Amino acid sequence: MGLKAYIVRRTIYNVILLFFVLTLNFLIFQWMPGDPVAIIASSKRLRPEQVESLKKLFGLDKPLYIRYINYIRNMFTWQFGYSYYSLKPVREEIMARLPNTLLLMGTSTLLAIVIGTAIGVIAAYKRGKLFDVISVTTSLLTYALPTFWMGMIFLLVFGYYLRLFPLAGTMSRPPPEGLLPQVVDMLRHLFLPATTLFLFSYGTYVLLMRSALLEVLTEDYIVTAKAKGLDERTILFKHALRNALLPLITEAAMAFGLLFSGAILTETVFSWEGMGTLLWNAIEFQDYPILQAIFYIIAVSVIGANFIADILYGFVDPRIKYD
Amino acid sequence: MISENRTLEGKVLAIAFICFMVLALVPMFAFPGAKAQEEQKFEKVGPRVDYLLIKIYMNPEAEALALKTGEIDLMDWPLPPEKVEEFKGLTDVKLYEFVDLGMFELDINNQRWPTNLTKFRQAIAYLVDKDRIVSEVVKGFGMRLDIPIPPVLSFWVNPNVKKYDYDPEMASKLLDELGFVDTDGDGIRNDPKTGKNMEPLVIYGRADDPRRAEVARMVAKELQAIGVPVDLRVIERKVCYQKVMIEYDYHLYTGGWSLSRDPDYLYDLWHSSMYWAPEPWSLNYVGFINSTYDHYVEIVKYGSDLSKIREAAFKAQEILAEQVPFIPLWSDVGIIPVRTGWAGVVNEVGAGPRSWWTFFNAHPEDRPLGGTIKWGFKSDVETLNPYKAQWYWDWLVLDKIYDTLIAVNPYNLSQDMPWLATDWSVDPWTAPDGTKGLKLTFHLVKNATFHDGEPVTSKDVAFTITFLRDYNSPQWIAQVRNVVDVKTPDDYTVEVYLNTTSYWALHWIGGLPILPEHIWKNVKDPTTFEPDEVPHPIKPGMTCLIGSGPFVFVEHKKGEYVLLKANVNYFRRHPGRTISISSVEVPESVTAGEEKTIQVKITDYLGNPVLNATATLIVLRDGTEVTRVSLSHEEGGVYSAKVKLPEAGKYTLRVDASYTNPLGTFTRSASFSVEAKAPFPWTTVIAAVVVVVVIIAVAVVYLRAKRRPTV
Repeated sequence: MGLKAYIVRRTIYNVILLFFVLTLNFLIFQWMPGDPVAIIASSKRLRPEQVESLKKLFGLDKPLYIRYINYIRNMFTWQFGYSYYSLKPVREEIMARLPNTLLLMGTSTLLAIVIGTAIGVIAAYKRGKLFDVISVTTSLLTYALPTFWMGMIFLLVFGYYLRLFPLAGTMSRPPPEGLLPQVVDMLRHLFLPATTLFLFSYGTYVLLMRSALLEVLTEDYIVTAKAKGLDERTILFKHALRNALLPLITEAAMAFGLLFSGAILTETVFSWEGMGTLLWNAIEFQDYPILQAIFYIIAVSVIGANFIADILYGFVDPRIKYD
Repeated sequence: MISENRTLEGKVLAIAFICFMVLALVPMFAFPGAKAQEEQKFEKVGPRVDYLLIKIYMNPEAEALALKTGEIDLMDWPLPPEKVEEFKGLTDVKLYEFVDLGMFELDINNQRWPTNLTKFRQAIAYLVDKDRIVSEVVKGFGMRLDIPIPPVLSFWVNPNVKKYDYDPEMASKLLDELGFVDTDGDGIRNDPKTGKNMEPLVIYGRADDPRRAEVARMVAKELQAIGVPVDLRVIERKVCYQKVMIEYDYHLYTGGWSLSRDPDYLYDLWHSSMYWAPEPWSLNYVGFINSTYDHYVEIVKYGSDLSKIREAAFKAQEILAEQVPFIPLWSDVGIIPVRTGWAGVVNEVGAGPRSWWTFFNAHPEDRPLGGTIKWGFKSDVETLNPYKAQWYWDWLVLDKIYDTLIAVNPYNLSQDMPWLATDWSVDPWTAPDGTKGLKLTFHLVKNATFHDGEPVTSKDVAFTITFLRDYNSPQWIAQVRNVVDVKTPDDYTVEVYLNTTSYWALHWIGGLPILPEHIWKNVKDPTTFEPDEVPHPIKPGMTCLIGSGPFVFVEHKKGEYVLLKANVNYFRRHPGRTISISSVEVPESVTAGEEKTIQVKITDYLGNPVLNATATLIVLRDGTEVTRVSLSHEEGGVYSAKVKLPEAGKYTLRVDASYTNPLGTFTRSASFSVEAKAPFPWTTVIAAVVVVVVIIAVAVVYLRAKRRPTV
């Protein structure tokens, strides 16, 4: 089967999967105990006509199957309805935070993949030497430390004692004049939370890359390459690395898929208004439309990222056939 | 048996009470408590600062660090006890201590066996070591309570009620008297009803509050020590809420209340009409039903004579102390740090330095006006819609934007002060159907305006009351639900007719935020309206979040900050908040008809020269404008113009200056008296000289001719 047919087949499969996830996402919140409008009505002391208008606003005055059809249509058109809590459009609530989350999670994930992979390659290449020992130990240590604790230490050391970085937020108020100073200001705010997340996650890539590469380096074809007199660099990067990349692609795909979910603890420690805090508040206040939308976005991004990873496998490793 | 109607009625009041609880935390309406360390001074003009910047920290630890670094000037929340010592050592931080207007208590289910027995509850009261709780659990940052009135409301405290000091022997004795005796010697008391071992008492402790969790553990241990089995559940607050307030499935619970300055909460929390079981959720979730108590708290709630209300409140406290429907434990003592360098901080009773008055009065120590005060919040605001806002932090912002008719003295919570209302009266009134009620008459100030320049009139007040009532405002319905009618005899007089005789009705209406009718009359659905996100219909750059308060809304960036600026047109503006015009060269007298240069210097409220003012010099004679010229800026705030006074006489030179900065436009006039004198009469003098010379010349010629000899 060729690539095109594979893509078509996987697309159909993913659409079915998405429908399944969407349906589950719908049903879970239908099964949750309590009438959401009753919760809102009691907390906000609404008049009966206001309750009715709220029901209309949320589409809760319609039968279940109509609600399901509307829900599916809304999800595909990114019309997520209104937040039960703030009564604002969910899309507005999400879009207010998504850029912050993408900046934070995107930066830290990208750095973790690039730097983690590079360290993993070097560690594998220098197996048993000092660099290997230090890099493995360090990555295990930062992986094991709780992010909130690391974040607090960073705040204390770099924010309070050294006063190199701000203690909270995404930008100074008032913001500095000029584009470049504003970019620098934003990077200063980004540095500590992104570093915290990077330190927490880069170890995964170090260990993954190191173990995959060590396995590949013992393969016969590597021995053959060495016997043929190829230099170490060519063996490492041209023959070994490419074959060791597969698990990394899976891991990276998952990480990118979860970009949209935010990082609750890190966002809280650094007062970084992102998807993590939105998710947490939605759980706290039983704000189902927000939860549905976030779960949907996460599902779409995870499915999408895995789809891309599947395609990439074939390019990275020609032995993989699309069948 | 409680009737359905009474139940509903009670619910309305209950929710109203919750709204009031929230209000109680809003400094403007709240009741300051405790001991004020500072001189009890505050001023009724302001604000002095230019900006109030509220920075949001989702991490309280980061907020504390921000205070230390100077990123913020004060915090919104008292320091945890373990941090107080650390902050005491800081030289650039001053700590303010206050007693909170709230209470923590051990709630007892009065409707469930065996805690429905008064003696059993009294036995539990003897097992609670309040002094130990204050010293060990609260670590000294609390004051012991024996009645549900915090010390800050000292006027209402009955000092003679029965107190329960720690006495396990007395507790055992009471249980023995009730027949709860360990008959089989297994260490567990037997239930006199069944003869078997007692069923465990279900105790809920709040896992989110270590102090309340610890109290639950202490009480459980004490009960077990005298042979009462317990089922201790230290658990997440929502579960506690569900089990205690919704299902009433508990024996003991470590509860807590924020209270209001008026003692009518004695009715709202423990009157029998507030117990609605088997319906879920009651304010009186302890299920205290006592007709004598009801009688007294009805007087407290609806009475109109202060001395009788006080007497009834004292009686009600005596009943609570005897019946022990719950066990009052302590009121928090809070410590809030403020950076040094600020003057005018008001340590309000019950609220501490986060008082509304602090932001109205504070200014940098080295200058009387200006600067930005930065306030840390540990939560973002949820909505800035005064109709529906109920979150504590929402009102910390909104009470700076919206004004009220009546203010409260921050050092004496029982003292109402004129604000938007200059004075008021409370008179009896009888409705057409014979219902006895009250007529409140408010006279308004005449110089108050909303932030967009529209005047505040009685129409706005009447609109506010009816709007909040008719749209059933979740936050304010309790205050306006008894309003039958509102009349506006003139633009500055409001008459409010209520179908209640409650002494507290004045506070209900006097504490409402006054909304601008011209904005809110167009709001179709106040539940979804977000005024800070809707542009003002006329004023560019403004939103619909406009009130008449001392601060003007500028911006809210979600999760990051809220920025407010001083309302420079506030009706109680600080007199120094203006520009100054001083004479540099304005002579007291000039020559009429002669052109003269006039120079004045214009400075702002900080004393800085104003470089971009618009200034006009108007020449007046006997109040009539003679001429006007524009003054042009030379340098360093000095403005000049050339002027010619046409005739001799007395003139007034009036300089009208206007200056706009980011806060708004400042205008001011200054007048100088000048006398124009007539010019010296050189022509006459010369003519006279010429005449004299000519005469002399003629005379000389004549005389010479006369002397010449004739031939």
